[in-house]
Amino acid sequence: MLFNSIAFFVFLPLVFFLYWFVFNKKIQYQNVLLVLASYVFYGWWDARFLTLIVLSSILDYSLALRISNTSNVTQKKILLYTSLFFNLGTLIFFKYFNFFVDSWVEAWSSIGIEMDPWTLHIVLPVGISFYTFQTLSYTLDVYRNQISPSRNVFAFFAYVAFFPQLVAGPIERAYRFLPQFSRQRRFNYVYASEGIKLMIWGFFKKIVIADNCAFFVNQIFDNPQQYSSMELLLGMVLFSFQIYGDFSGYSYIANGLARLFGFDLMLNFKFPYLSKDIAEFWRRWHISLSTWFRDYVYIPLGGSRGSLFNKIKNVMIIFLVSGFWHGANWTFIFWGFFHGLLFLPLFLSHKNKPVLTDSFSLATAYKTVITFFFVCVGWVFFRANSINSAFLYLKKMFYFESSSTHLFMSSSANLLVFIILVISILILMTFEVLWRTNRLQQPRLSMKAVFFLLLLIFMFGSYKNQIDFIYFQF
Amino acid sequence: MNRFLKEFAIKFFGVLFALQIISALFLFFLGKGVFYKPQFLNNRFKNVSLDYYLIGSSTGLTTLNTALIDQELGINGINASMDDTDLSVHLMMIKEFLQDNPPPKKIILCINPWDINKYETDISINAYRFLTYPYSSHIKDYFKEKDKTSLGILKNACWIPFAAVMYFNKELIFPALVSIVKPSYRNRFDEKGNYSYPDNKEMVYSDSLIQQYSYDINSKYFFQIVELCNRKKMDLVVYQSPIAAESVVNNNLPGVLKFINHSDYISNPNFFYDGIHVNSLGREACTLDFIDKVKDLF
Repeated sequence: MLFNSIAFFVFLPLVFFLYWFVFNKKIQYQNVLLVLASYVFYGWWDARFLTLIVLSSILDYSLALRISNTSNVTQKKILLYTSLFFNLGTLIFFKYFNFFVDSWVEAWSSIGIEMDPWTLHIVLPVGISFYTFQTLSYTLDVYRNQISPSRNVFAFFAYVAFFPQLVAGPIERAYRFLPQFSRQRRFNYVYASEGIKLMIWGFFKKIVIADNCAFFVNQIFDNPQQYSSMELLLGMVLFSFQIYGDFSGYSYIANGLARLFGFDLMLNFKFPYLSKDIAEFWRRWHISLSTWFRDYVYIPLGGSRGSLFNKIKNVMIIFLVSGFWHGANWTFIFWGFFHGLLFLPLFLSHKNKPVLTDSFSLATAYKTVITFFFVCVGWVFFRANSINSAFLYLKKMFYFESSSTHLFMSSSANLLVFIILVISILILMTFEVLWRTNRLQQPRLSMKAVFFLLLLIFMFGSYKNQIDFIYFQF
Repeated sequence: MNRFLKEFAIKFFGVLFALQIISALFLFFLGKGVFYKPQFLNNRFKNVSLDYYLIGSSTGLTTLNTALIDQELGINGINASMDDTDLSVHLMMIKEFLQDNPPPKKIILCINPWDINKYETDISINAYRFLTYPYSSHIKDYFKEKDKTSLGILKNACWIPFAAVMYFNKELIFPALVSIVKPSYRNRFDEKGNYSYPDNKEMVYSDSLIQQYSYDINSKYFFQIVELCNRKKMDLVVYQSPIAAESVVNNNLPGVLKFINHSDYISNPNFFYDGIHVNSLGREACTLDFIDKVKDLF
């Protein structure tokens, strides 16, 4: 079920009503309702894949209990590996199987040995990377004795499948999020009102910015050779705003929704396009994933300890794995590699831990612009159909043979969408600069601003060609 | 909770109400202008006697120049054609015209083989242009018959205009604003309802067009147009515009005064804009030949 669908606008009030007025006698009842509602929400897309979520929940719930109950280190490890094997195995099978087979065949083909590729028609379950990582974090934390295992089956099942963040995060940590399912929930007026405002901000970013950007981005990236350097440059910038609007829009809607049910999700974005360098960008972009990799991959690998080689290796591993997490394509891996290269100089000069609470200043705006440009270049690899296509795209763009903007002016409809985008992006960035200037970490909207955004959603939103959230495919 | 629900309900319905008003205003101002063809016809033609009423889709809009026809034959007509429409819309537009005006002497219907061969058609992608008249019985019937969206955005537009305006925001809001600032602005058609494609484009037509069509008259709307013409004593002249690299055979059309088939009239690619539309050169050639063939009818 999509947040921006008619079905969801029926589903949400119904669940809200049942949650606070019918199932409100006990937390357990509310948890049961959340599990059922989450399964309906997910099953709306494809009920078959609910099996994976249920299996993963059963397995991790029981394995974590057994890990906690045993003092035998070997047995603990076996139980942990069983969880890792199931969760990562499922993820690898559904997401990467065909990629590995194709890459294997291509590798042999490059030295002249032809093989018959044997691939399966595998449908990628929506959000598999998100809920898999969430359940994994639980088992790993129990294994490390950082949290006690849950003994409340419905609380745990609700934690795994909580519908606001099930399909595209934020990837929550058990130590932070799971206790919320065992705590008495009281409706908080201020908290819920802020939730609604966050949702409206999220819808603005998704429906007005991301979906309108998609109109041009899809045309340009599908046939980059047909467009001028200027059009490619604008296409790159528009994709940067598309993916930002799409993903952060989803995250804000998820945050707002969770608040309506009395939950607090972590912030996944903190105005990343105002970052002054790549290190800061990664502390502001998809925070739940980058901190997950930091805690469960980077630190266990040795982190910033050891020889210079080890340090560089660990950094590059994190960026490559982060890229690969997004999808089974070399473009994502290269995107991670590119960011790793940008990050390394800061890391080696110990400038990789920026202060996130500082205000935005015009004096350093040039650094923000440069960082944004590099981030945009990285997005070309992320969006292109192949690495080769990305390089051709960038080559044509940097040669700057033509400054034609024909695509954006070719019809009154195109011109109108372009004007809408320019206005909307300016509004978005103005809000973000104001919030950063006031040292805020998340949006704070007045009622006037909310009404203004609603008017923009009404007047400028893209409704005829609704586009799925990009991160659903990851 | 009560405070939240109360405030939420007040704000939610308040916003909804405000959007309803804003939407109704947008539609009102759009309806006062002449931006799209329906508004142009509705505002410019009240009790006007015409010699002919030319109706069709984009081929009708761009092939026959009514200004030239009127000048050469000393008559008075209008090109009511609208792009991306079909016979069901043409029928509705004739009925709409007859509601406010005496029947023209002739209806010139521009047809396409892929349209006339189909019994039923889907809703036109330009149907939103009629949203300024949701209470008109013909338009209401059209929306009722064709609108298959789950919310019934078009057919319920008289009750919830905000849903329709929101859904078609780019097609309605900007034109409404233009209509406020410049009520006489027309969107790609002149004072006689014509539009012409430019000449400076190399003609490109898809391979799928290179075939020979034949008329297999299945369209229920075609027969309804014939019946309406008979009832209102209007002569029906049917026109087929040029189609690149193909021709249309079978000139037998029942209930038609005259059928002018230009499907293979033009062979010079320089006269085409694309596979099914002529440019201004093609338009002039077709119009002159059309005038020659119909001059005895007027």
